Amino acid sequence: MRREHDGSLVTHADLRSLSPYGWNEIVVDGRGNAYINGGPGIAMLAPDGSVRQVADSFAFPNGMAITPDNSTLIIAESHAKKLTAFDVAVDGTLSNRRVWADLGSGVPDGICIDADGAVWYADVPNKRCVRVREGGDVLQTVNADRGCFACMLSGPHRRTLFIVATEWRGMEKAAEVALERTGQLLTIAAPASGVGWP
Amino acid sequence: MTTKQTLAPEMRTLMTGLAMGESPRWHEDRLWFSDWGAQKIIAVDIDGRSEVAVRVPFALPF
Repeated sequence: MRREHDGSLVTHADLRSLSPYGWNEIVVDGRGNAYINGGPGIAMLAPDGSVRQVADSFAFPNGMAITPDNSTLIIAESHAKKLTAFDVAVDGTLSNRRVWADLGSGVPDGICIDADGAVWYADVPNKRCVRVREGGDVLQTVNADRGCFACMLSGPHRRTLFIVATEWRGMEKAAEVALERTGQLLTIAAPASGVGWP
Repeated sequence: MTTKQTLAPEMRTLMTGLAMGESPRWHEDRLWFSDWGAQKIIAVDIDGRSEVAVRVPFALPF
């Protein structure tokens, strides 16, 4: 869906030709290409409205981020406990799939990139956000008392990490937990500014 | 008497009472995020002033 300036919601694209199931995460890069992931993998929606599948076979595809030069897409694979990277071609095609960081016990959900080239990832079961560099070295850990679903470097100069956190008792209890309104928005100063997309 | 200095930045709670926040994005000086289960998209500034930007017709995606 797309929100128009007058506030109305209109259908922006219909992805049902690619998958009958719901979709999960989205990132729009500097070229205006939108990458959307879900069960079948990653779909790319171009500014002209055309849509095609550009990658498949993920262990729970989750947060995605694209470097400021539009050249690299990083995706969290929650069940594989790793961040996977692709080269992004000018036409939006993804290639050169590789492990960007093996996270050990980390379970990545939402991610973002900072000016030092590090990635922050939110982690639900471990109730934390972690800053890692390519290869997996941990640079910083921010602990919370509930599951961290996503984090984004935002605020003035994008120098503050905003974290959305909620108590989590598994997918089957998600609707019940939502009624308890345990969700919070947390902020903490970050060592480097957010860059890239989102 | 010495004053203990802590170098670690402090976590601040900007909003509470959400159903389940997801997909935060910084846009036009506010953080926009979806509150899954509450069927809302919320926009909030750095001082915590928030408003419901969009009410969406869909519920939890799972």
